[in-house]
Amino acid sequence: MSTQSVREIPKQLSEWLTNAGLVDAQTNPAWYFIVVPKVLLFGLIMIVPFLGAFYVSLHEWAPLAQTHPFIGLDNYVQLLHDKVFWKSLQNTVFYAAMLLLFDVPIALGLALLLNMKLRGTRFYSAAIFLPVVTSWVVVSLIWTWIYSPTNGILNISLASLGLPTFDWLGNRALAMPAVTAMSIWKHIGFNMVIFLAGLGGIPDHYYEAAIIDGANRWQRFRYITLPLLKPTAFFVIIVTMIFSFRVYTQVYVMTNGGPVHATYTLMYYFWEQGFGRFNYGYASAMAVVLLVIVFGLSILQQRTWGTDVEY
Amino acid sequence: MSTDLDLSGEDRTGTGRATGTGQYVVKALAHGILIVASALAIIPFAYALLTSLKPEEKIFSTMAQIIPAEPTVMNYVNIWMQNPLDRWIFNSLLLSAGVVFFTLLLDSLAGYALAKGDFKGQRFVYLLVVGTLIVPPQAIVVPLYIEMSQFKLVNTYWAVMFLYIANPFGVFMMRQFFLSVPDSYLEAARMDGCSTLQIYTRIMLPMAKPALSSLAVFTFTFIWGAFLWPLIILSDSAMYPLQVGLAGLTGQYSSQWGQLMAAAIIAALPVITAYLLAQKTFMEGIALTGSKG
Repeated sequence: MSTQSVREIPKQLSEWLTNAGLVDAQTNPAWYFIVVPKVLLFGLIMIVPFLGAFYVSLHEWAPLAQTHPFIGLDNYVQLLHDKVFWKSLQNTVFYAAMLLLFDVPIALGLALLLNMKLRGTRFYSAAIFLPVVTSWVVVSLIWTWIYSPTNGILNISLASLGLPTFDWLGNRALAMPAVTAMSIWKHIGFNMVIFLAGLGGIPDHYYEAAIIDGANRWQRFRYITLPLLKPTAFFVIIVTMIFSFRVYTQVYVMTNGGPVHATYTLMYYFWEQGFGRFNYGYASAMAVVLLVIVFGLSILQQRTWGTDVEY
Repeated sequence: MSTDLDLSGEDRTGTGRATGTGQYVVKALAHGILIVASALAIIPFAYALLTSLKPEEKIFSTMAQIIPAEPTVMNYVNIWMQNPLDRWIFNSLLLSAGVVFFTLLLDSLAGYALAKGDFKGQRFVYLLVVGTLIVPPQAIVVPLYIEMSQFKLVNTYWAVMFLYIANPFGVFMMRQFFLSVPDSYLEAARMDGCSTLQIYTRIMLPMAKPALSSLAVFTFTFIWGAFLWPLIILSDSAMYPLQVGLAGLTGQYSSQWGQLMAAAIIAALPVITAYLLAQKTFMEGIALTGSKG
């Protein structure tokens, strides 16, 4: 490999790489040129800003100011005393909890039904997946109209059934649940497909053997499907939580955080502080909170990654 | 990779083999639930479509008036004439095409190097991929904005694209795919005198077509729907992608639902059309996020 490889790149470059200690006789220098664009992008676009978030959060940082004074942990202390921050965090946790309670189990149920391979499965899955491919802005617009207090179809339907109607997005108690319900509707198909892939990954011969052994449908589900689906389920739960902590677009389009702060989320408040009020330092402190939460969840996921079931 | 979604309707769990009335009840129940779920998923889109076809003054309706008596395309004409929708669509297409191109190129290269390469620092690069995989892009937009303004890239297409091209997901995915290619293929190609890059272009890329098309579809959907970063980094409305432009219309057309729904339908149409043409590829793209290869 090595004798050939030297011809693949200019001589000076391979000499430079050898001198830099990156290349020895066994290494083909071409690999570096193949991998380097992506590594540069990681460095400049991911790692530098990632470290930058921590750095900026320790400063009072207004974008147009001449200096950005170092203020230690003041931004974090201020966060602890900021009622809007706590309200935002509370709403975000509510959102994540609702997705875990409704999105994940319903997605699993639908995946199991689709996995029965009934006639029409292709149509059902196509329909349920439709909201996933549509953008958040579009579905947010549509649902703002559905939730419209006077003429939205939701209130019209309720009224025609003789039920009370509500100003869904204008009511402080209902706005966050309304935004969350719409998000569950949008997101279910995503988890459903991951579950479906997980179900598809369970080898046929397990079921065949169970049928020969006389296991009924419930036993096959209980002793084959469920245990083998555990890693997928865990993956879905963690990814749904990570996803939930980023909730932003639907709040921006549907309620602008209102009424009052009823639908503020972590990312919405972050955006408002950072790009509405240009408190880069304060916004970055919130970004670090998000990073810590997401990292915690990811570590949890990595830990169980190893305990995967082997087929 | 174990992400082949089987939507064929072919029974493999033996659920359909048993007979008797109990089976019929279970099946009927399953159909019932799936029909309700499908209807719930589709109705909001149908409602948006119906609204968009109604004259603005007749939007205020009762249940009986949901279906427009005299459908009109005036809402589409008006929203199109009054806003640079064509420009926004062009921007979205350009950004999506750019990101898809660079993602496929750079991620397949890097994935190839990680799966089949043998070089110092390979493990470091892999850790970089796995590490950046868990960084939520939203959390780094403030420092990235500062960096982009240092480079004088604010309000450029490049700035929008960089964040998405740097996404590590595709590298991870392509690495998993290339790991499944037997080494003997590469050795045989070496014997025939192929260089490392020739193996990539002649052997690896052609084999990776299914994985690449899934990645392309996944990336396209993602970029088409991207919102927060373009909203932040672009200051000129002529540079906006469709989603950002669309979100800005809500204030302007606060109660003109016919026109807003027309805009929503226009924005949804390209992706929905592509989706209906290639449903399986779309779903496999999503399923790949859950696969560990």
